[in-house]
Amino acid sequence: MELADYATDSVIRYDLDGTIRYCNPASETQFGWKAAKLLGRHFHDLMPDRAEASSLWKNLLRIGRWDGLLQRRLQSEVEIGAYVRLTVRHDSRGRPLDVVEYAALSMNSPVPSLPVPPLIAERGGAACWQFNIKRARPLLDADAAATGYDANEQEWHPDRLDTLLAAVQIVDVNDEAIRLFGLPADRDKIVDRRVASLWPEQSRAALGDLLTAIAAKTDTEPETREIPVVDRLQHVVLTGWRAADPRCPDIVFVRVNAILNAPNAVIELEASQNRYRNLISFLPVPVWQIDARAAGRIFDRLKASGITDLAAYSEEHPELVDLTCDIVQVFDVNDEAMQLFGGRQRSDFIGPARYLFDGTPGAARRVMLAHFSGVRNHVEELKVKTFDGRLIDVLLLMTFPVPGERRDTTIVMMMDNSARLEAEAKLRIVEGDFSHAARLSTLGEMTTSIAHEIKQPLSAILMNAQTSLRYLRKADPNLEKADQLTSRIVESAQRANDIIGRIQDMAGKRDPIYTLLDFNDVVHQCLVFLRHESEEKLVVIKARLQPDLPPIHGDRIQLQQVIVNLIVNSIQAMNTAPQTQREIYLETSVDEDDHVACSIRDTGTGIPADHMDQIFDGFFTTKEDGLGIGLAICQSIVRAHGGEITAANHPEGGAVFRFWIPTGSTAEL
Amino acid sequence: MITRTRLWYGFVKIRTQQILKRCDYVRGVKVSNLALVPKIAVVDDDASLRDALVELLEVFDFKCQAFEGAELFLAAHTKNRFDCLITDLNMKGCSGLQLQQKLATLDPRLPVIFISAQSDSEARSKALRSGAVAFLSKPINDDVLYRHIIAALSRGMSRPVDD
Ligand SMILES: Nc1ncnc2c1ncn2[C@@H]1O[C@H](COP(=O)(O)OP(=O)(O)O)[C@@H](O)[C@H]1O
Ligand SMILES: [Mg+2]
Repeated sequence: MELADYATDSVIRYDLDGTIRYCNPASETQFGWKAAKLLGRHFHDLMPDRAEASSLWKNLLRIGRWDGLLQRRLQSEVEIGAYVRLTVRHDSRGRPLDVVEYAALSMNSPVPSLPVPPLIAERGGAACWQFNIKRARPLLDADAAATGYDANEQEWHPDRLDTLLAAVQIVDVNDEAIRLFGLPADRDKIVDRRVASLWPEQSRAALGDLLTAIAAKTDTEPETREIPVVDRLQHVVLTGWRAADPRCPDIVFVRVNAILNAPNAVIELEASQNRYRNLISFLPVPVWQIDARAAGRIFDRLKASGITDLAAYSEEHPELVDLTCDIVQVFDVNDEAMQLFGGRQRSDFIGPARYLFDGTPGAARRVMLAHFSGVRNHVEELKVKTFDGRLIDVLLLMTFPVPGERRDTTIVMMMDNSARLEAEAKLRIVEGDFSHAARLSTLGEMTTSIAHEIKQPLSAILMNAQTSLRYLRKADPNLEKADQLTSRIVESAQRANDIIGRIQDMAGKRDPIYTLLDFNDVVHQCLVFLRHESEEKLVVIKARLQPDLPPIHGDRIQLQQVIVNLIVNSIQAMNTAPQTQREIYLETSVDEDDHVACSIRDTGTGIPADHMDQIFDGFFTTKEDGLGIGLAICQSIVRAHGGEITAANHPEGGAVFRFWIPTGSTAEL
Repeated sequence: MITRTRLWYGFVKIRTQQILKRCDYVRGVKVSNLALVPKIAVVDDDASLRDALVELLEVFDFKCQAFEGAELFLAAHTKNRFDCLITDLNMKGCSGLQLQQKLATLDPRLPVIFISAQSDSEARSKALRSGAVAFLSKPINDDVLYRHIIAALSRGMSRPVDD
């Protein structure tokens, strides 16, 4: 020990009580205590807080080591920061002998205020966990009261164990625990989590027992539990005790001593840990790592008790969804996830997974059902509430572990959908432009018909106006006639207005308006619109409309556009046919799937077999002045309505176009 | 325009009376009150226009009968029953031109005035070549129509009477 006399760091030797038995000259200069004054004093005399000091000391003896930044009290009552390493020395038989402390003043001493020192050593010694059992108190106390506590006979009801361990919060772990338990290397991701999500499966009941026993005790003496094998660990001994500091009665320390059953185990453990860590931190999408084992256990029990239909079961037990939301825990997130949710601290993201599904009613339940069903992946579009209060659209991708994989890791990814939805909105505008162009081209093909349509009421208006003027200018003005004619003028003006509106609808850009429609009505309006065009081309349209069609849910103008496009195509296809054979058969019906179906058959040229595949493509046309977008638009409209359109040739010649639209009764009523 | 209208109005009265005279009808009695004044047939499938035309012809003091389609007109038609036909060009079923073709054999002396919403030059020349009095585009000016009706009636007047 004499060598220490020449050391520049303070070296102090304590006996197991914490009484100082030796100090070197550096201790005097560093802490400003006279060596003579130091000897015989206690560890806690050097500390600003006695209770904290005694907690630390007890932990030190039980774990074997403590190191970190400590607040030291000088003789002058001034406090300074120091890096301190305390090590328990053992004799040849492994019994604790004494404690040696090396200390160096912190460079930026005096530290004005130092946070409470961690009560367990960061490095070295045995694996150690620090828990806060405050929230688990009601459960622990109830246990003790209800069962007249007997640790060894305690049969854990799994739900109860889940709830208990979900209530126990991790305050800290040391490096040894991280290594031994394969915890996330970043302590941030462990602290404040529930122990349920990180504690190994096989020793959960032992931990539950241990905590129950500790909670029931009035002193801070340690309790132990032994488990033969835990994952890769053998001869596991859990030693737990309450903090000696009476101000924190809910702080419990658990030391874990064990032997790794294979030398490679640690490396493997770390490698897999790193693999996941790297995987998620480098993924360019928001990723959450979730431990859903607790839910998995519940599901296993439900299955064991014969429940196969969780959908029905969860309807009777809505609290199940709630419970899973709480016991399924997020234990890691990457930066992208934090960004997506607008969160600052990783610790805000760690904990019950509930917040992931809060923005979308029913989402948590669907995820639960997916997990129960044993599928590997679950995908759904969600709205999520971010931490800064936004509601964003995301695509959720969940991957549940399958046997052979780390059971504790369920991966959740979210793709920000708002960007995609924006892109889609843009696409829709482009599509809108496209269909606008198509409508205009159809209108262009029909300008003569349109002129005709609009001229009818205009002629009537003019004629009636002229007539009434004549009546009024008579020597004996016929007011009655003028009145009657003026009302007719109003009627015709209304009609003209309707026609112009219809053309504007066709020509103008608009967003679709979905309403419940009588499809026959829609067809009827088209026939009015096309009447002149077909008459002029000497085409007879024979419509057979099935009465009492169920209503469909759709956009009137768009559906009219489909019919008009198809009929205009048919009329064009019959241009060269002999006049006597220019016929279009239009039929509406309800098909075997209860869809409203419409077929338009003509007696024209038909469609050459090698064109069949292309006619619905944009810009495919066989016409000199064709645009080739009519059918493409028809298809996109029909599909947007949830239906399908097909083309064929009729055995008796000519083309047949058929499309169907689902009925709207279920969609909206 | 008013003076011109009045002029034409006066003219038609004189001409009508001349026609009446030729047909041995009572002189000096108000034309419109008579059962057998020149009778104009109107064929148009558009109800509002048809009605408007009827009203206009009435204020001109013609007698007229309107038909919704060529077929109905043909069913009601007998030789010399009408003194003039005003028909729409574009109609469902039998078009104005087809009607004209049929009348060429049924009642070749019946003067025909076409009205059309379009200035389809092909149809127009076809109609005129086949002997139409006029081919008027909608919307129709009342004075112009009146002038053509008078022209038609006078032409009809000069058509050979066959037995
Ligand atoms: N009823 C039909 N009969 C025969 N061919 C047709 C019929 N409808 C469409 N087609 C074919 O499909 C092509 C694409 O039609 P469409 O997309 O409406 O564009 P466009 O009419 O401008 O050519 C037409 O050019 C024609 O070759
Ligand atoms: Mg087309």
